[in-house]
Amino acid sequence: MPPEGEHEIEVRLDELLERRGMTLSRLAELVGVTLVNLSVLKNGRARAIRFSTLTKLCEVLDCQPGDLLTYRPPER
Amino acid sequence: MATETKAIKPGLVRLVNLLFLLSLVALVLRLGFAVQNVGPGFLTCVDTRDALAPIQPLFPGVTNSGGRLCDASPDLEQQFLLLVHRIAVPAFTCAVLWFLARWLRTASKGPFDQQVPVVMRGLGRLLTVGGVVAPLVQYLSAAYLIRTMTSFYDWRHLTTFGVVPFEFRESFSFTLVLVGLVMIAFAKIMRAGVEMRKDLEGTV
Repeated sequence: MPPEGEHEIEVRLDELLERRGMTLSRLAELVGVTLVNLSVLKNGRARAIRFSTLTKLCEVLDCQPGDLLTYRPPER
Repeated sequence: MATETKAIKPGLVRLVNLLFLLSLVALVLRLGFAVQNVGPGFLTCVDTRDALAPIQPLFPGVTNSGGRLCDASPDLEQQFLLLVHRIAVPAFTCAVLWFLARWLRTASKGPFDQQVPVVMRGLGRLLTVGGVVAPLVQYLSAAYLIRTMTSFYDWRHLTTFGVVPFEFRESFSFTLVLVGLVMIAFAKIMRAGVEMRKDLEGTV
């Protein structure tokens, strides 16, 4: 178990935005989440994500949750 | 966030701070008065409410009138007992107000500050334990003081004449102890709330 607050989940929002040619602020607008919160998510500083936010992100970006979030095992 | 910081009005914090300072001044004055009156020629008196009126004999230099047992030449032990008797409850009051002021100051930073339930639990413990201990100390010091003034001393007699009950009864408040217990329980609930809030932080 990683220490509390730490995790091995990678948010691949950058890649998805790049592929779709969308800016973060436009995504924030479409999803209805503040730009600050979306930046927190993009930079991997979010501790949790609501299913409702994930649903909207998947709707707007036309992707699956697995495309957005991936598990990256720690290097040993 | 703005509503959180306004949850505790600054006026209330200032009022409790003022009450604490007043109680501290009163306590210091009591202490100062007691220390100033140390030495031969000063009376050391304890209120007995006439409960010891029929009691004889008294030790030399001790008078029993007007519901007060007084020693004209008190020794250091008697003066110490009188001091403890006089400051036990005011010191407790002062400590409660200090804790209350600290609690409000902490809560004014935000009701979900981690220190809020900690200080609240401390205040609850103080009320619960101090609410019993302070009156008990006040009574015991009076009882021991009486013991130094009369050879006719027996715990059973003191109980019979009502000296034991009135000292304790007048200062002890069951409600205060209950409030302390409620605060301890509520602090536990608040702590759970603070933890839940912490879990939500960083949620997108």
